[in-house]
Amino acid sequence: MQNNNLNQEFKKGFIAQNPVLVQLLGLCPALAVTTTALNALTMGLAVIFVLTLSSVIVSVLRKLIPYQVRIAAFTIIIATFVTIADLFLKANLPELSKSLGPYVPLIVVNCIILGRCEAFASKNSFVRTFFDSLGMGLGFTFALLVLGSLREILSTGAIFSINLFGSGFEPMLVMILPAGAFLGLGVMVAVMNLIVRKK
Amino acid sequence: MKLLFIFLSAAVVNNFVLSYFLGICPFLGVSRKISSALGMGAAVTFVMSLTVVSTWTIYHKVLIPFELQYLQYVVFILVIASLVQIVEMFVKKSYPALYRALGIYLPLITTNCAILGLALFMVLKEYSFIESVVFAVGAGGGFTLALLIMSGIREDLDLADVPGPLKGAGIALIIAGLLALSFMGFSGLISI
Amino acid sequence: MKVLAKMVLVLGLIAALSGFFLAYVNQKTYIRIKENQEKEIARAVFKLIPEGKDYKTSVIQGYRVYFVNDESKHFRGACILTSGSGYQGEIKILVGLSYNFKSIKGIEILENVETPGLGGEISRKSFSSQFERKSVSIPIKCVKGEKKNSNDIQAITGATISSDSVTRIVNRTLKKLVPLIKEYAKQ
Repeated sequence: MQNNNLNQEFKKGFIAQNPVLVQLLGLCPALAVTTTALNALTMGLAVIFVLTLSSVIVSVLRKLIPYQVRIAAFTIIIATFVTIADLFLKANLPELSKSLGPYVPLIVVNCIILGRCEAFASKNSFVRTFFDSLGMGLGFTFALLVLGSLREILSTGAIFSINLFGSGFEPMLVMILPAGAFLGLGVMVAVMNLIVRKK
Repeated sequence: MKLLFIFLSAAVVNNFVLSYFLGICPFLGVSRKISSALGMGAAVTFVMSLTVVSTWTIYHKVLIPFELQYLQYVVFILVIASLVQIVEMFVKKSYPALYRALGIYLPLITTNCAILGLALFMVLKEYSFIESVVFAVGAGGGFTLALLIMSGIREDLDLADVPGPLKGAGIALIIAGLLALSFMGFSGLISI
Repeated sequence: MKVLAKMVLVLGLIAALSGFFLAYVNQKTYIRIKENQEKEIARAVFKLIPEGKDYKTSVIQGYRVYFVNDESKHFRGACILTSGSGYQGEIKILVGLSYNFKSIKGIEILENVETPGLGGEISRKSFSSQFERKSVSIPIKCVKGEKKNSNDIQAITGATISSDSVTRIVNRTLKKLVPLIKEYAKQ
């Protein structure tokens, strides 16, 4: 029973409550860094790191933090982990860090994280919180990776910079532009709507 | 001339919403009515100007001299959150009419990524104080413009027959895509 | 009163812990981040002046100028870091000059936000290599189609404004800075 429950917490983030495609949270990074699959994956991993660690800490401290200052406390915790992720990327993966630009620090205001801290972590044990945020984080990464791959394939004919179609490929430049991000995500949200509704 | 370039670049050429994807949540959420779009736009522009003034001062006069740049994200977000609180209390007491118009949007602004994004871009682009303020006004103006256009389209869209799965967010995102395409026409508008 | 005290205490504690933790991580990563930033410029500088071994950085009129020496400490050329507006935003360029400041060694586009696939092509070798060996004294001209004069470069098809912008930034920088650098090098 207990295991089943945790499984549920974990799985809901993928389809039924996918943060990007169903809840429409965290759209700013979803649109901005999905020009290539690699950028999308890196962003996803950074969000999983920040989301899991900050919500577990919030859950552990939930009885200590007075209700009135909880948002301020959550924000400090989140911003701390975001800074750690940012410094790590700058030190070890400078090229990737540069192409993600200010969107790594912008994880601070990503509504998914504050939302999970407020709605779940501040009310549940840290074990359940861990699975919940891991599921949400993976759901977020999954959505970004699909959009990133779609845009990279259509705009350059490659995925993770590995060429797929050879030289005859006519690139669809619009997909790498901001407009392509909006169009791609719009179509993905619509497809998700179809899937969720059929269920 | 550089100031004009910064202003136009932030307002239309590299519009915060349509090419940097900042402030997408209110863009999709509050853009159903023209009047609320105007209110949100004004509130955001106002807070943006205050944000750069305070974050610029703190960054260049406190964080850099003490080599505490690594604290910038924590400090920025706390400054923005307290700023929004103070503005809300001040406007409520001194300008009740303005508060009734902007009030409901103010609390939403803390988590608006356009505000933190603005502070981050200001650091990244190494703008001077005056440049930062111009940048903020341009960005706020661009945000308002995008919100206004979007809300105008969506008011008409209520009467249109949109295919089921696209209803709501789907069609809004596709419209945003088309808007982003048309805003590309502003590229090359000014050069120095 | 008790609640207020607890609020302040908890928030202060969290903030202090956060500051302590970040100071530690920052200390661990600081040197590598600095190195990475240096490496980026160094890579571009030595790409433009391959015979160079090390360089000295000076700031002239607000521009960063890198004076490059080879292994036996002979002066081999200088690079100027400059920027200007392109089609969609700022373009950052490193311009390499020969040891006598008479010709361009080459240019390197460090950053641009031009349209990918069109204006973004300015960072390709096929475009930027056209600046190599151009004379400093005659302004470079960006032309569509066939090149006619020795100081012409060919604009990228479909990205005339971006190509023009690069040319304009390079010309402006050279005109303003080369006399100053010559003066500076004499000292």
